[in-house]
Amino acid sequence: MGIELAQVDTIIDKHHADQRALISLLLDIQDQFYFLPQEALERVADKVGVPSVQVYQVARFYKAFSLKPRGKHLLTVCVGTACHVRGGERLVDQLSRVLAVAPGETTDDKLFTLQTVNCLGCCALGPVMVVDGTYYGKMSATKIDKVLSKYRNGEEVADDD
Amino acid sequence: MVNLKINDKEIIVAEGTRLLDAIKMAGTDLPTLCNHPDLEPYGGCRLCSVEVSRNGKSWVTTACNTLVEEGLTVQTESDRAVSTRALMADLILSRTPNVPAVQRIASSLGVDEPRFATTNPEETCVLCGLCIRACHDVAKKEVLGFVERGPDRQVTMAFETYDAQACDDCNQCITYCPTGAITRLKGLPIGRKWYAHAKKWARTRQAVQYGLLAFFALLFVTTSQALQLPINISNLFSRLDPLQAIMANIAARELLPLYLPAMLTLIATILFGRVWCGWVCPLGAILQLFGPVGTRKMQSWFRMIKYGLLIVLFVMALFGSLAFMWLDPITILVRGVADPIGVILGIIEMPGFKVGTLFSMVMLVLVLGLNLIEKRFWCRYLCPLGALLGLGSKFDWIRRRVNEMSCVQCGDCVKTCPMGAINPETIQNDPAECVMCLDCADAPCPKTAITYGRQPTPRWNHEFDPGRREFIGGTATAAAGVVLLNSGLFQDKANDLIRPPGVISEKAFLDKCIRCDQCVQACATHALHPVTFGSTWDAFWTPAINGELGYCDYNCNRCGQVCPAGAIPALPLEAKRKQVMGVAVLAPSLCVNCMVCEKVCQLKAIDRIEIQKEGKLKPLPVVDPNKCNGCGQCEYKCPAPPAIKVYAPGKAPKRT
Amino acid sequence: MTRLNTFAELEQWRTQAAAARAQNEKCVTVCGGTGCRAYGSEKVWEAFRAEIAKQQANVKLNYQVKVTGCHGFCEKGPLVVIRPAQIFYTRVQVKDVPKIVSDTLIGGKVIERLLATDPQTNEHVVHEHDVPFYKHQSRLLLNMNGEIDPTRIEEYVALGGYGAFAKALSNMSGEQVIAQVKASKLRGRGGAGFPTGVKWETCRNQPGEVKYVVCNADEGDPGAYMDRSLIEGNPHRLIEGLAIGAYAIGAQEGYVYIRHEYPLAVKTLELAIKQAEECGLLGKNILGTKFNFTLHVQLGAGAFVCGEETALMASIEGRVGEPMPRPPFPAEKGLWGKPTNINNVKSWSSIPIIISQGADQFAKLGTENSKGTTIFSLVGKINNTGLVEVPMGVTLRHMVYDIGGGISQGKKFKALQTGGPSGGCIPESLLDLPLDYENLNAVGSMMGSGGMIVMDEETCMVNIAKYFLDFTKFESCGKCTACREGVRQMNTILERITQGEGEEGDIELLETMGAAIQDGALCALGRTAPNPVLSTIRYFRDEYTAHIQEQKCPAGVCKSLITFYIIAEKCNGCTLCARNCTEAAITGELHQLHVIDDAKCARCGVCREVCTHDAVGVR
Repeated sequence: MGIELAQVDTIIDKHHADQRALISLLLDIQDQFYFLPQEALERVADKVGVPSVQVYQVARFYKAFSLKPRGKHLLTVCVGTACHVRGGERLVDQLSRVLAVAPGETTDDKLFTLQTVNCLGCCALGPVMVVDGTYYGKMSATKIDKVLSKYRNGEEVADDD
Repeated sequence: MVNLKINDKEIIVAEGTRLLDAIKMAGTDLPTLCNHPDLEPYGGCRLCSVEVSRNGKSWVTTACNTLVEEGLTVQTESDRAVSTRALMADLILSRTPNVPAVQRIASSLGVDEPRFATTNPEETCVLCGLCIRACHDVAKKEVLGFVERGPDRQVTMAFETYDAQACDDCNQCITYCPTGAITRLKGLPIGRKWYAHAKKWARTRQAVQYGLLAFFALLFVTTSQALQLPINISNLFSRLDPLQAIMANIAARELLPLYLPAMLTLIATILFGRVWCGWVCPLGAILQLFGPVGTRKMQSWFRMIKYGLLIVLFVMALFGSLAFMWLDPITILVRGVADPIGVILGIIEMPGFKVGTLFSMVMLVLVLGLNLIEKRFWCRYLCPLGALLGLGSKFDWIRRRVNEMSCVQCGDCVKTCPMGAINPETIQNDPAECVMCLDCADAPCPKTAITYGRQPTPRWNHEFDPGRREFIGGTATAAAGVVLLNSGLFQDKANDLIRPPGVISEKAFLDKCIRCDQCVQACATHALHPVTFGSTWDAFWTPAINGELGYCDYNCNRCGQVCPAGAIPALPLEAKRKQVMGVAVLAPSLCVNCMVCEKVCQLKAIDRIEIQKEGKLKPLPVVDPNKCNGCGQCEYKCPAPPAIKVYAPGKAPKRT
Repeated sequence: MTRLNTFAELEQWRTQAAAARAQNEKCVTVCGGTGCRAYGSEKVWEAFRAEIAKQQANVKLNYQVKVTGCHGFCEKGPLVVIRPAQIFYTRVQVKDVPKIVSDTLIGGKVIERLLATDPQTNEHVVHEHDVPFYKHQSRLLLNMNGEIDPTRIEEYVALGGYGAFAKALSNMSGEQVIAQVKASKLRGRGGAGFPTGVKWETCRNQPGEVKYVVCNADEGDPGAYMDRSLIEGNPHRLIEGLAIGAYAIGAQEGYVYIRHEYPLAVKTLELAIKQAEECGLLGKNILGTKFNFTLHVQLGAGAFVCGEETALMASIEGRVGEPMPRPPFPAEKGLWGKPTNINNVKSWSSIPIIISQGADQFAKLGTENSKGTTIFSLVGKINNTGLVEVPMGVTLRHMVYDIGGGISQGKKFKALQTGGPSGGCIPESLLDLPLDYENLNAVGSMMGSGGMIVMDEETCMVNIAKYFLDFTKFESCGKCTACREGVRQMNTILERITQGEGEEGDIELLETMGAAIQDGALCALGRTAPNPVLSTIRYFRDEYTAHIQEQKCPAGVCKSLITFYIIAEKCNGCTLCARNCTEAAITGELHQLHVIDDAKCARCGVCREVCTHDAVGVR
C-alpha cells in the first residue's frame, strides 16, 4: 500500500521533527490516514531521529493508534463505569454479535470498526456510542439496528451514485 | 557510610549501595529475575520485595531499586514480604510453568506447583526486560523493545521484523536473558549467526558420521564380494580402533604394525575427546539413529561398567588372552553382520549351522535392543573402547564449554544429548561421556551458551570418574576369570579346529585374533565361520573352517588380507597355497568311488588305486598327506559325505 | 491583542474588560461542554444567533449569545441561562429557540416547561442558583464555568484573572508563594492527597537551573470528567496556576498532558495558551519582569497508566508510558532527568484562588486535614448526573440525595464507587461518612480524581469488581509481575465466579492476592488495582457467596447465572419482545402469552429493555 510520504513530511515539519511531539505527531498521522502505515512510522523514525523500535512501541502501546487500516465507520462505545452500570457492556456485546467482530476488529466488508473507549466524559448520556464523531447517547441494544442501518444505507446510496 | 538494620542485624554499608546488595552482605540472598549487576535496576519481577520501615511507617518495596538509607529497618522474612514474594513467584510460574529457571526460584520461595491458570504452557518469556536493557545499555543499540501492554506485552523489534541494519547480532540480549526465551521469539531470528555456525558443525558431524557409516558398508560389500580394492583398507575401522590395537599388541607381546592407524584415533582423542564415538564409529552411528534421547534412566554406577570391562580386557591381555575382544564395538558390528548375512542371502541353509551363525548376531542385537532403553546405552555404560577413549578425553584439548554467565540451566541441551552426558543440574558434562556430536550446541541451546573450545577444566574430578574400586574390581574379576577359565572346568574338548591358512600356532593365533570375524566375511567360499560352543572358551567367536559349508579356495588369500591383527598372516597366493590347515582323511567304507575329490584337488594330493568292489574294479582315492594342505575342497565336493574329511593337524583319526 | 509590559497595563486592561462585560450583561449563555454538545447544543446556539439576528430587524434586542464551558448539570443538557435574569432552561432543543426568543427575551416571560424542577417539591425553579443541584454546592473552581466564554481571555481578566499571577510576580518571592500554598494546606487533587506546598518546596530546593512544571490532565478514570470541564470552561485559570507554580519553583517550561479523547479541551487550551502568549502573560520577560515561562500541550493517546506521574513523564518524552520505580521522585529527577513538579488540573487551578484570596480564606473551607473544595462527577444510576463541587467534609448522603436527587427510576441505592479503578465501593451503611482523603482511604476507597459512580440494586458487585479488573488488566503497562499477572489472574478468578464456576476458597484467595498486590506492585496503578475487589468483598461478601455457593447472581446481571422469563400475569402479548429478539428465542401469538426459549436465549436483555409492561423477569 503506497502512501503519500509528502503528507507525512508535512505533519513532521508541523511538529518541527521534535521528539517530544512524537505522540501528537502520530495522532496527526492517524487522523490523516485513519491508521498508522508502516512507511509513515519509518519516515517518522528517520526524520525525528528516534529509533524505529521506539516509534513502533509507542504506536503499539497507546490505544488510540491502529496499525491496521480501519473500517469506513468507526464505532466507539464508551465502557466507562457510568456507561457500564447503565448497560454499556450489553451494548458492546450486542454490537459484537450483530457485526460479528470483537472490539478492536473491523467487519469483513470493511464498513465498521468496533472499538471501546474508557470514558468520553459525557456520563450523563450513558451508555454512549460515537460513530465517526457523532454522539449517540442513551443507547440501548434495540437502537443499534437503527443507527447502523443509517450508515449502511449511506453506503448503499453512495454506491448507487 | 550508612547504618541500617537488616533482619535484626546492624550493618554499615557505603552510601549509594542498593538494598539488595546490602541484604546479601547481611547474609540473605534474595532470588531475582529482572535484576542484573551490569544493568540499571528495573523493578519488574518484584521477587526481591522486602518490608522496610522507618519512623514507625512500614511498607513493602523491591530491594533492587531501593538505595540504603540511614536508619532503615529491613525485614526480608516478615509475613508481608514473604507472602508478596510467594505470590509473585506463583504468578510468574503460572505464566511460565515449564521454565526450569523459574521453577527453581519459585520452589525456593515455597511454590512448587503454579496455583493460577496458564494461558500458554509453551511460554518462556517472563518479560523481565533484561534483553531490552542489554540491547540499549550494554550493546548501545535500539533494536528490542516491549510492545502492547498488560497481559499482551511482548518483546519484539520494530514492525516485528528483523532489521539487519539496526541489529548487528551482538547477542547481548541472549546473554542476559534469564530463561532463553529471547531466541525463541516468533519471527525474529535472534542469534541467527550463532545458530548457523552451530548448525554447520552439527551438520558436518552428521555428514562425516553417516558418510563413514556408508563407507563402512561399502567396505563390507567389497570385502564380502571379494572385490579387490586398490589399497587394502577393508579392515580400516579395526585398524583405527585403539582398543584392538592396544590389547592385541599387549597380548601378542609384539609390535603389530598393522595397528599403527589407531594412533591417529588416540591423537584425535587427546585433541578433541571422544570424536571417534561421535564421528567415526559405525556402530555409534547406527545407535545414534534411534532410541530415547536425553534421559538418564540408569543409576550412575552403570557408567563404571565400561571401565570395568576395559580393565578386564586389559588384564586378560596382560595374561596374553584376547578371549573377550568380542566386546569391542567394531567386532560386534562386523561379526553381527559378517556371517549372518550368509543366512539371510540363503547361502547357509543347514539348520544346525544357521543357529550357530545367527548366534554371532547376539551381541549386536543386544546392543541394538539396549538402545531402546536409552540412546547409545552401549556407548554410555558398556563399551570398553568408549571407556578407553573416555580416559583419553579427560586430557583433551578441545571440549564442550558452557558459558556460565549465560547458561540458565534450562536443560534443553540435556534433552538432546544422546549420551546423557550433561548433568541436568549443572549443565556441565564429563568429557569422558561426551562424544562430541555437537547436537547440544545446535538449535537446543536458547542461550547460545554452549561452545566447543579450549577449556582449562580439571583433568579429573568429573561426574563419572572411574575410581580405584573399578580398577581393583576389574583386575580381580579378570584375574579370577583367567584362572577359572584356564582351570579346565570350561575346556569342552580338545582343540581340533581347522584354522584359516597361515595359522601355524593355535596359541599365537589366539594371542592376536581380536575376534572381529572380518575374515569370515571375506571368505569367498564361506568356509570360515565363527566358533561358538563345543570348543574351548578362549576360541569363542574365533574363525575356523567348516568343511561342510565351504573350503579354502585355491585362488583366494583374502582372510589374511583383511585380518587387522595379523593373526592370519597376509600371505601371497603362492605362499598361502602351501600353508597346511589340516589333512584330508578318506573313509573308504563310505566312498562311492566317484573320484570327484581327485578331480577337484588342485594340489594333486589325491591319487587313485584300483580296488575290487561289488565284483567290479573300482577306483579309490588315496590322499598324500605330504601334499595335502587340508583345504577341504574334496570334502566339500564329495557327494557322499563324510567319505572324505579334513582334520586339524595331528588330529586325524588312525586309519582303520 | 496587545502585549502587556507592566503590571499597570494589566490592571488597565482589566478595567476595560470589566467595563465591556458590564455593558454586555444581557446575554444568552449556552453550555458548550462536551456533554451538552453531544445533546446538540451547537445547533441550539446557532439557532439563537440566527433567531436573534432575525428578530433584531423588528425589536431592538441587546442580547448576545455566549458559549460557555460546562455548567455541570449534564443530566439536563443542553443548558441555557438567560442573563442577567439568571433564567435557567434545561433540555433546550432547536425548536424551543424561537419561543425563548419571543417569550423570554422579548416578552420577559418564563417558559415553565423548560425549567428545572425540584424533585423534592416538584416545583419549577426559575433561577440557576436555586436549583437544588447547584444550591448545595460551593463552586470555587467551577464558579466561572457558566459565566465566561473560555475562548476569550478578556472575559477571564475581567473577573480578576491573572491578578494572582501579577500579585505573585510583583510582591512575592518564590518562597513566599510556597509558604502561602503550604499555609492553605492544599493537597494534591489527583487522588493521593500529597501536600502541594511540600512538593513544590522539594522541587524548588533541588539544585539545577532547568526545572519543569507539569499539569496532569490525563483524566483517565472512567466516570470522571471535571478536569476536562475545567479546561473547557476556564483554561486561563489553569494557565495562571501553572505560571505561578513555575515562578515559585523556578521553572521556565511547563507541560499540560491531556487526553486526546478530549478534543474540545485540547482546542480550548491551545487557544488560551496562544492568547496568553500574545498578551505577554506567557513567554519571555512576563509583564516586564525577568521571569520567562513557556507552556506546551502534550497529548495522551489512550493509556490510563499515563496518569501515573512517572509514566506521564515518559509519555511526554515521546516514549511508552511505563512507570519508573520511585525514588527518585519527579521532584528530584523528572522530565529528562530534571526536577519536575506534577500536579493535577484541580490543584493548579486552585493556586490563583489561594494567592488572590489568601491561604487563610482557602483553608476555612473543608475539614481539619483536607482543605478547600473538591469536585466530583456524580454519575451512574443517579437522577442528577453532573459535576458537583463541595467543600471537603460533606457527607456522601448529602451528595447522593440532596445534590444528586436520589437514585434514578426510584430504584434502591446499593453502593457508591469513588476513585475509579483504584477506588472502592462504599455501601449504604457508610453514607454518612464525611468526605475527605483519610476517611475514604479508611473505608477501602480513595478520593481519586473525583469520579463518583452511583450503583443501584441492579448492579452486581462481583460484576463491578470484574469490570474494574478488566479495565486495569488492559490498562496495566505490563511492566511488573504484580499488576500484569496478578490483576489478570484475579480477573480470571472473578470471571470464573461470574460464570458460576467459583470454588470454595476463591474469596480468601482473592483477599490474599489483593493484599500481596497492594504491597508488591510497582506503581500506584497496580497497588490500588485490587481495591475494587477488596472493597466489594468487604461490604458485599454475601453476593460473592451467592455466586459461588448457589450459582446465583442476586442482581440479575451475570449472564451465566440468570434466565429471562415472561411474567405471565403482566404479559399482554404485544409481541414487542419477540420482534426485537435477535435470537428468535421468544415465541407467542398476538394477545397471547409469550414464552422465552432458554436454550436459544443469548441473555442480551433486549426483551426486558423493550417491554413496556415490565413483564420480563430475571432469575
